[in-house]
Amino acid sequence: MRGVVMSTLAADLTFARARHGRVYSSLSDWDEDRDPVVGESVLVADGEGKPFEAKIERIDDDGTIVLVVTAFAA
Amino acid sequence: MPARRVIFRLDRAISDNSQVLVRFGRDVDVPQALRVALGASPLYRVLPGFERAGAVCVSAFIVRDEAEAVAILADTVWDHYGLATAGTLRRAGYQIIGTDIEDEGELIPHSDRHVDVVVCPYPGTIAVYDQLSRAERRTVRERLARPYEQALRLFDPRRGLNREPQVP
Repeated sequence: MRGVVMSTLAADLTFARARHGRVYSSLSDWDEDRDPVVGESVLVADGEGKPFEAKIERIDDDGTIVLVVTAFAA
Repeated sequence: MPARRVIFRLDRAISDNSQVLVRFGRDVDVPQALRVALGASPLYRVLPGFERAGAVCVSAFIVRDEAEAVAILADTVWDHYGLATAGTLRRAGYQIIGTDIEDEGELIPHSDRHVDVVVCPYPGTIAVYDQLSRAERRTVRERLARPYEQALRLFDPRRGLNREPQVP
C-alpha cells in the first residue's frame, strides 16, 4: 500500500487551539511545483517534531493560506 | 497574511535574574521554525533599531517559575517547552524585547507576558521574505539556519508535561 505524501507548510501554531484550530500560512511556504488547492490535506509545522495534519480552508488574494488543523478544530 | 500585529512594549520589565522565559515546543525541525520567523520578520519593523527591514525573532513568554510555565502550556497545543533566564540569553548576545502580539484584532492569550528574542535583523539588502523567489528564500534560510538554531538551543533541555527533561 502506498502512503500519501502531503505538502508541509510552516505556520505559527502557538495558540492554534485558541483560534479554533485555524492557522495561517503563506504561498511563500508552498514549495511544490503545483498550486495548492482548497480542500487539500497538508501538514503544518512550526518546529515541533511531528507536524499536524490540516486542511486548506481558503486561499486569500494576498497569498494567505488559511488552514484548519484537524486535531484542534473541535 | 492575516491581521497579525506586533506592538512594542517598552514597559515590560525583563530582569536578568528573576525572570524565566519559556519557549513552546521542541524545535527539532529548525527549518520550519525559521520559516515561521522569516515570514513574520516584517512585523518587527515596529521595534527600535529594526525599522528598516524587521527582525528574525524567537517568540517566548516571561514566567515566574516552572509551575507557571506548565500552567500556560495547558492553554496551548504543545506538550513540551524549554526555559532560559533572560540573563543567559543576554550573555549569549541576544536582545530581549517586550512585545504584545495581536491576532485579527485581539491580543493572543498571555500576550502581557510575551517577549521576542532577537536573533538578527532581517537582511536589509534583500526584499521581504514573502517576495523572494524560491531559490532566494532557500539561500536566506541556509544563511540563517545556524544562528537561529543556536538561539533555539539556549532553551534546551526541553521538558515534557511530566517535567522529565527530554532529548531534543
